[in-house]
Amino acid sequence: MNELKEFRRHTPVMTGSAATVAKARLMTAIHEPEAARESAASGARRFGRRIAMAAALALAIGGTVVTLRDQPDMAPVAGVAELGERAASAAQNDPTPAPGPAQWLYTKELQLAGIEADVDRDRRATWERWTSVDGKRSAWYEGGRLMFQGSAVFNPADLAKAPVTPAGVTARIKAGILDEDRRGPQELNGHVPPAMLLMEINQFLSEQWLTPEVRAALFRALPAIKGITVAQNVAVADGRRGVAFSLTDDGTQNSLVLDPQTFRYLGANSTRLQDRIYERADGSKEIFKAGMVSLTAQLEARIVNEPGQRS
Amino acid sequence: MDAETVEIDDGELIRRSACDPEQFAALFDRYALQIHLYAARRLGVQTADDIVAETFLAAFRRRGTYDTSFALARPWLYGIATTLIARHRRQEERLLRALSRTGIDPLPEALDDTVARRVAAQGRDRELAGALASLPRGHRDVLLLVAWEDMSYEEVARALDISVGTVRSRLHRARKKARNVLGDEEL
Repeated sequence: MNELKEFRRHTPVMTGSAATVAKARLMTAIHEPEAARESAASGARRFGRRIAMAAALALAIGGTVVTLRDQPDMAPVAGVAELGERAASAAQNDPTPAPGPAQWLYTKELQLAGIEADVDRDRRATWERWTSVDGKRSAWYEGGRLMFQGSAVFNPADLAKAPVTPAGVTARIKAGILDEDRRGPQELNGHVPPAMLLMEINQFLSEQWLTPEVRAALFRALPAIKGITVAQNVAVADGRRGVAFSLTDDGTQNSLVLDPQTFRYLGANSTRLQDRIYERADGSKEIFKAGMVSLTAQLEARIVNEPGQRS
Repeated sequence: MDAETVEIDDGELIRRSACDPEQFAALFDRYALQIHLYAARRLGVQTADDIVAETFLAAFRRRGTYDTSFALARPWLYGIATTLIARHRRQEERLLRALSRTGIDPLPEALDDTVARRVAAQGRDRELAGALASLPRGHRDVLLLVAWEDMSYEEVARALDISVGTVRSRLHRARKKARNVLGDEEL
């Protein structure tokens, strides 16, 4: 236990300015309860973006800026509803046979964070993961050893319960998010922010095997999310470009990107539209410039018999 | 903070805050720094800044449900913070795996210690980070509240709203799994 007690023991303490800001938020809640409630909802909206950005920034440094390929023959999609319908049709017509209950989904993802055209600030890593078809376990390699972890936040079987409808899958995902909120921060006030919902759906589509019906329902649900638009020619981490469900929230454009021909999942794109300044613990400041990106690209996604298998 | 506020216990402060909400602010002065350190060790200081603010906002809104017979609100506040941390589970695990993979901890450290700690991280910290990343979230919560915050089993049970028996079993399993990875009999 001693080694664990020492682990990250030298983490910097809270800065005076951070404490002042945090206490000011509390005092606002004390004096102006309604204003604080709105502030909490704003915090929830920031949540999804922070996860995507911070996770990407945690990657090991390496690699160079990605070169983006042009794909001039991209099939344009007129609107977000059409994109949802075409993606849903492609999912329903997927000829891939259904996996067995004991099989696993192997996914390999390229993750990239940085500022476009700034080689020194570009960070890349490849991430492999195995998720059991039933959603109860996931695994990855760590130092040559296969590590396992327990259940997902949501049980994919719940989403597959009949009838599977766009409104139904959305309601079940929202209920899961709100249930977690009720047991925890209680900041959502029964309302799931659109950016959070988009992030959850992106997570499902990228890491979990889902029945064709559920995938189709999720694609048909996306256009109904408030603020979602269609965006063309959106890059993912390996340079491919696609057509995207896109949502701008708090200065960041978040996109779930699909292949423009097959409508298969390509990856995610989070692009900062406005500068943001963060103050570090030592007083130095880091500017997250407009144009900074956090990208993923799904390089592999196939069913295997055991965790650790790649083909 | 006045003299009277310093002397009364947390439960009484929360009880008084029903009529005089400003009394609640004293809890921030008592616990903000330690909760921040706990969150920062798991997620980094920037995320911890938000978690501290959101912990006390949530606590203030929920103060009516607090059982004021408990003199110390520390487990309750850590419980709220831990739930907020849980929403960053993927970030936490990726940070740990980055350390495990590269030997470089993405989390900032106090400047004086940085060089020595970064060198040390080449060894056991890498294995420890890998072990922590591999634990189910609930087990990691229990292990870190006991190891880092010196909480009793009863306090952890209150913080996480689980039984003491569950705390024991999670801690046992977490230690066993960590030992398997680390080969460390002391953990």
